[in-house]
Amino acid sequence: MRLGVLTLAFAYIWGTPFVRQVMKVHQPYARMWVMFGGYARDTCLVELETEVDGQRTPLDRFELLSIPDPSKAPHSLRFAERQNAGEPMIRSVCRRLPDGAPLYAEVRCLAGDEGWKVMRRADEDACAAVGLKR
Amino acid sequence: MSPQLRAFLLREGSTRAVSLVRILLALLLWTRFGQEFAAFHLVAERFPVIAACFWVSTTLMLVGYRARAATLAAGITMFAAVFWAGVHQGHSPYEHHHVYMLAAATMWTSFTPCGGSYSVDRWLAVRAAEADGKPAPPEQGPTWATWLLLGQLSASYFWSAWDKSTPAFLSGVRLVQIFVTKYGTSDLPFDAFQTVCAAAAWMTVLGEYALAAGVLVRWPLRIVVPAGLLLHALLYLLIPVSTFSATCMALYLLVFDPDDVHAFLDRLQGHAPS
Repeated sequence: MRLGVLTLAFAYIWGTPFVRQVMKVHQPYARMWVMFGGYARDTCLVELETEVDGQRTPLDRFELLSIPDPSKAPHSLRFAERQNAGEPMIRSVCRRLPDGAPLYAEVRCLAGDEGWKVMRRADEDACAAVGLKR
Repeated sequence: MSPQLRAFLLREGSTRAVSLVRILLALLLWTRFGQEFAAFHLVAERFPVIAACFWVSTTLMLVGYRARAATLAAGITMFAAVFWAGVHQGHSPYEHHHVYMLAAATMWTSFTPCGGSYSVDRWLAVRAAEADGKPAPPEQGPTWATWLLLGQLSASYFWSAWDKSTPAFLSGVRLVQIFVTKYGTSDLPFDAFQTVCAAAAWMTVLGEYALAAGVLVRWPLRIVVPAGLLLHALLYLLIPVSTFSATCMALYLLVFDPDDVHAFLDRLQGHAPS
C-alpha cells in the first residue's frame, strides 16, 4: 500500500511536468513548473541618442519631457514593447526634440528563447523612420 | 521487496516536524485564501462549496483534531480549487504555481502522521493515557510519506531549473526584462547590469539543480538548508511570489532527520531528549 502510494505520487509529481515541459504536450491538468515564464517577455531595452554640436550624445527622454520621476511617466514612455518596437515612445520624444535634431534609437527585444534581437537600429533618424519628418 | 526498501517503508520517527509543517501550512492557507473565502467576498460567492470545505477542513487541520483526515480534506479542497475552479472554471489565480504548491504540500502532508504532535489528537491521547495511569504515548509515526513532500520540493526545483535552461535566461536577458519591468524603465540601470543578471541566472539555475538533489539526499545539510532558505528569502524580497517561498521554507523542516528535529526541540525547551 505504502509503496503503491509512493510510486503513484512520485510518478504524478515528476511525470506531469515531463509531459508539459519535455514532451511539450499542452495538457492543462498536468502541472508544470514555469515561474515568471511569460512575465515581461514583451519588455524591450532602449537606448536613445541625439546630436549636439554634431556629436552623438545619450538622450534622457524623461529630462527632455520634463518628467522628474520616471516611475510616474506614462507606460509608453517608461517601456518600449515588442509589438511596436517602441514606436509610441519614439513619437513622444520626436515631438519634443528641437527642430532638425535627429533621434537615434536602438531597441532590443526578446526573440523566442534565444536572447535579444535588435528590432530598431540606431543608424538612421528614428523620427523619420516612424514618419515624423521635422 | 528488498529488506532495505521494506525498512524504508516501515521506518518510524518523530512526528514533531510533520506536525509543525501541518500547522504552518494551515496558517499559509489562511494567509493566501482567508480573505477570498470569507463570506463577504465574491470568490466565496462563486465557489461556496470550496469556501465552506476550506474553512472546516483547515480549522481542524490547524488545531489538529482528526488531523490526518482534516488535512486530507483540506488537500482535496485545494486540489478542487486548482483543477476545478482554476483550470476547469478558468479562475486563473488558482492555477498559479504558489497555489498548486500549497495544495500539493497539504495533500502530501495528509499521508504523514501529522497529528502526532502539537494537536488536539495528541492532547486527547495524552489525556487518555493519564486516565489509564499509563505514560504518554510516544510521538512516533511512519516517515515514508515525508518523501512525498521532499519529492515535491525537489521536483519544483528541478523543473523550474529545466525551464530556465535556455540561452535567453542564462544570458541574463530574462532577468533584465523581469527587473526593469518590476523596478524601472526600458533602460539598463548601469552598463554591466546584464552581466550581473547573467551571473545571477547561472547561480539560480545551478542552485536549483543542486537543491533538487540536495533536499532528496539530505546532504550536505549545512549547505543545502541555508542555500535553500536564502534562495527563497531572495525570491520573496525581490519578486511577487506570494506564499511560494514561505511554503517551501516550511518544508525545509523535513530535510532534517525527524528525530533530530525532535531532539532539538527538546533541547530548546530545556528537556532531556525524550
